[in-house]
Amino acid sequence: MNEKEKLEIIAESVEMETEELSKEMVLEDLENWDSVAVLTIIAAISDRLGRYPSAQDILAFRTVGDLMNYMD
Amino acid sequence: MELLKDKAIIVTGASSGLGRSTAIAISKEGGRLILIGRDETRLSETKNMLEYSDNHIAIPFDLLEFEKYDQLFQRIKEENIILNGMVHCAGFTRILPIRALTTQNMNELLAIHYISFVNLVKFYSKKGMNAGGSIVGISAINAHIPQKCMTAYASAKAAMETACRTMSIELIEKNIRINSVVVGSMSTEMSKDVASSIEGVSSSYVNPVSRQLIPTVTADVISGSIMFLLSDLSSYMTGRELYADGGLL
Repeated sequence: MNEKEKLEIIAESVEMETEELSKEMVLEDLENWDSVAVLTIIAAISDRLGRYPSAQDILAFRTVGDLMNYMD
Repeated sequence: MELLKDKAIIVTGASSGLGRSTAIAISKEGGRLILIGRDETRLSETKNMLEYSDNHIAIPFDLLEFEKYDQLFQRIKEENIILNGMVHCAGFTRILPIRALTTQNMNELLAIHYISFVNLVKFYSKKGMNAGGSIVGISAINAHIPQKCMTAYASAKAAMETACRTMSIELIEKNIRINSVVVGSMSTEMSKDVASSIEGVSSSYVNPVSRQLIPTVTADVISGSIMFLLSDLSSYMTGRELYADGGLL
């Protein structure tokens, strides 16, 4: 996945536009960073990468950039 | 008691969970099993757990390869088996918020729960394949009680149930009964995996319905309801649902 695709997945999960997000942003500070957002991220990673991360795996990341690195 | 003595019964999803438990239960009641599952190793493990292990056959098969169903049933025919029953236990669930739904993941769930089931029924009911018998579909309480993030799974199960009801009309002309078991909360390796994978977000996705009267059971308990529908004890039932959900949900 390229940077743009990763950012689109995260933006979609928190119902934001990609332009509103940057790598330094802290996930917990995003208005819609909730359980549904986490489950949406898990679903997207499963669909695209065939990996099944747990909610704990996702919740362990601090920033948007940390999460993007995980999506390789 | 030998409720299913000499009855030849297909069990899909036989390599684990409800499929494995049901296969074991059927073997104890004298049935002859045709085990279907993807994982060859785990499938032969199941076979070794059965009573009269040599009586049964295991066929490693991926139910999503629809173009090969012909070969699968040909193989059963070559063993000189005339079928008396079938249970479709294969399947998996996915927790998908509306935002995460894609054509692909919805199709995957429909394929395993609904399209594969109807295809199995189609081949089972062909002339010369069966001696009538009883087919059981495995549905889920999600098809009746809404649960957050379960749209794709619940809809796939609902499609399967509706297919059971509808197909019952044509199938009775061939002396085949068809019913579904509506399974509520059940503890299997798969359900434990799902529960642990979402630990930390919310427990409400696993079991939102805390009003069940009987606490959650393991798969072997659900197998009892399946056995009832497979056997002649349920000879006056077709096109119906049997709830195995612990009561009032």
